[in-house]
Amino acid sequence: MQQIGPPARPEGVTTSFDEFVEDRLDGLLRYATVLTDDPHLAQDIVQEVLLRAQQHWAKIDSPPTYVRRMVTNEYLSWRRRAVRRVVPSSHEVLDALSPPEADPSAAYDARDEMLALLATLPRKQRAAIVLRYYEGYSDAEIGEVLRCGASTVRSQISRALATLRTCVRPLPTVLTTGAGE
Amino acid sequence: MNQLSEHETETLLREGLDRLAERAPDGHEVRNALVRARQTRRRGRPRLALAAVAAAVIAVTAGVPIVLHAVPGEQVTAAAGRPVASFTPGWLPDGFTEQYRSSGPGITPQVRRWFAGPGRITLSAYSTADPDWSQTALRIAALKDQVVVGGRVGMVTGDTGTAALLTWMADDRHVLTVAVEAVPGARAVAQDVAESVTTDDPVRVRGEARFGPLPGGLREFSTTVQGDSPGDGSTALDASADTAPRVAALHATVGAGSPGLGGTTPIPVRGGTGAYRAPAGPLEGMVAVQLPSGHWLTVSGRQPQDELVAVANAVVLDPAPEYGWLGTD
Repeated sequence: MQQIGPPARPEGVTTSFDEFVEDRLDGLLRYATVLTDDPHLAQDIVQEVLLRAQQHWAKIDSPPTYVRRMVTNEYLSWRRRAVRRVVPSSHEVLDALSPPEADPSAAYDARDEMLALLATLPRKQRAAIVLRYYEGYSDAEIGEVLRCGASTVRSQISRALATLRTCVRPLPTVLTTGAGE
Repeated sequence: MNQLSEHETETLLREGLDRLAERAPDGHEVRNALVRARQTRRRGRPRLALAAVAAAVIAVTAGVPIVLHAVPGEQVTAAAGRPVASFTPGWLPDGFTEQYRSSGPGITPQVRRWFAGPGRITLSAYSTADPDWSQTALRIAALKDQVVVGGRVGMVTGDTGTAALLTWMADDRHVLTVAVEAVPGARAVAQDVAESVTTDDPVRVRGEARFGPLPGGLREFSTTVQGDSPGDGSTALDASADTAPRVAALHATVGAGSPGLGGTTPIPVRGGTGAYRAPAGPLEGMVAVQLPSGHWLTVSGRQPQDELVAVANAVVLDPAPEYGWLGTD
């Protein structure tokens, strides 16, 4: 399972808010970026969630689980109420958010095609896919985050994979450069 | 269109998601927001107990080094051509907008300045490797008017009610000052600003030009961006001798303002026609040329005409200066 942040402290061990942020913030931002496909939105969501969590930290039983679920929920509701904010991945958007140095990983290939297609999935399907293939969660764990049963999770992932499998071209043997060229 | 195998799909998904994760923002802004939120809440509470202040002062005056709490976050080292200002206040009085940033490589001071009407707040960071600032800890310890900033002892000088200068050691390598001018309650404002300073949100100083090759014995000293709005931005570059004393000896500016061209003679500069004014008395020699953008490039110094022209020709223009922060809080 992919960890959000380094495994510095086992789950269940009480950490201060500062320790949590120190250990987990980078991982949360990566998770939120993968979830939202928008680094700006990811930052907004993580910031919003942590600001809220900071205020009642002592009452939170399992901070990693709680915060991850809050980020996911915030993404789902944020997308509903702020569609105008959603900026799909594009070379222009990502370049604007990236350091000025040339990024050799920016070449456009089937992985980008996969990401573009992923952006068109219904939000719950996308969240389930991210939790499975980025976080490495089991069906039960995904169901816990999305507040649905494991069978529903399997159904969501199955439908998402079916869409992705039929629409993405097989892995190319030669990478082509993208719009930035 | 061929259908991917399940394995191919999952591989592409994992690799694509990992690639997307690399685009995640760094945590600076979030950390800064969390610090600001905490400070906002703390601001409503009583200030640091006087007893604690007194204890800290006693410890220092007795010659006992104390470090109760260093400024958190990473230190950002300025690189030549890409300077940063590492220190940022989390709080400023209402109405102040940032209009000046200056930084450079090595021990170049990092300066940021905010204005509100006649009021001015300047945050400066100096290196203890700079001989001018290497003895600051001793000076602070010797002064009676001490304050505690982030757990470290500082000093207040020049307190006139509407002006004050607060100096403290943010860590072992940096001396920080907050200068407040033309602001009522300047001392308290300076202390509040100082207490909110972190290194969580370093900013770049990226102007519209940087030096190319410089005459022998000179090297880039600082880059300064200033203006009261993005449309009003200008860039100033200074070069100094590469050995002490690091006194600025060559200057370049790029901005909308036209330099005075009285007493100049036309010369070829950057493939066009520029102007040259010979040094006279206190006036340095100057080469000026209008750029395709309409902005003026001016290079001045005591160097011979051909060196000034060579510097002007070598100045590298940046098509994407960062002026967006000018005039914002």
